[in-house]
Amino acid sequence: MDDTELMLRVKQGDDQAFRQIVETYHKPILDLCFRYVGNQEDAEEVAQDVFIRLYKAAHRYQPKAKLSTLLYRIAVNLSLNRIRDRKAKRWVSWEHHRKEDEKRPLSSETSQPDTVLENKEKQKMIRDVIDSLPPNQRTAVILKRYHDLSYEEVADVMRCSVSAVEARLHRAKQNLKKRLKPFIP
Amino acid sequence: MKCRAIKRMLSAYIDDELTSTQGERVEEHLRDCPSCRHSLEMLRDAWDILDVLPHPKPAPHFYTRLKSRLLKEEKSKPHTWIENVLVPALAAGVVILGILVGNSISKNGIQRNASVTAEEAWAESMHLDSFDDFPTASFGEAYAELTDIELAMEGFKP
Repeated sequence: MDDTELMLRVKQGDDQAFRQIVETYHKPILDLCFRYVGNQEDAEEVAQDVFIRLYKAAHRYQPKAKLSTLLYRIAVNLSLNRIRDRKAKRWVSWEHHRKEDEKRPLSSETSQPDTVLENKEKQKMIRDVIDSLPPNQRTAVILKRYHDLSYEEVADVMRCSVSAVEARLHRAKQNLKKRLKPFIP
Repeated sequence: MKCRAIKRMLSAYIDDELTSTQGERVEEHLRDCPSCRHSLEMLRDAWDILDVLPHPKPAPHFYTRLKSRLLKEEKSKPHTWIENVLVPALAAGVVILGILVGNSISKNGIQRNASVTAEEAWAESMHLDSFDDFPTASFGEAYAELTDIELAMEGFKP
């Protein structure tokens, strides 16, 4: 059964069809949310929100766009909302991170080898570079790089033209090249 | 093709989004242009390094937790016909009833006041106030007491 048929069944109240959709898309949606929010806990929550939104809107479903496009679109919007909410509560986040940093053991106290720590630092910096991209470029990068969507599919999710996607990815790559230079061997 | 035009196509070339004709043009230019080859290499390295970032691990029982959340939200949602129709209807009924009872009470009160006033008015017209007791500590009271004593002496109870 393809996604459209499954979704039409969900529209009729078929819970098994909904479960099948969740099981198919859970991982990619979680991954997408994770690229935005940066931590497992928030990513799980936002991913759940995506499927809840889908479930509640199922009665209005029209098979005009691909289900994956719909899901990605919802996921991008909800992830961006979560980031905005987090920024609005920045002082709380700062306090939280400060306390978390105080709890974290110093590198000399940990048993992890230096290479593991280096990798973690590198990952954090690369994530920061992606986060520093303008929102449209960041979304295009996440959808193309981590979900291997075609330019046309990215354009569908972002509701823009293919040439706009091309331009955003071109600029994003230029930015990444500049900012990731220290990390490129 | 000039380097500037080629460099603008390198991003789509990396993403395998060029047409076959465009792709062939780029490759032909790259064969003879070290500068564009270097630009391509830099872009590719920056793109590839993004693989360093880990993927999240899907937690077990995702669907179970999702279903549980949906059920919870469903329970907290107002039941349409009960809360949207029945409760407002009951509330309106209570208000109307309250108005009716209130009106009824106030009407009875008005009638009772009116009847007392009418009674008083009738008594006044019949000069029945003549038979009312004298005000306390008045000469009339004192005279009446004296009269009572005289009558008592003659065998009449006051």
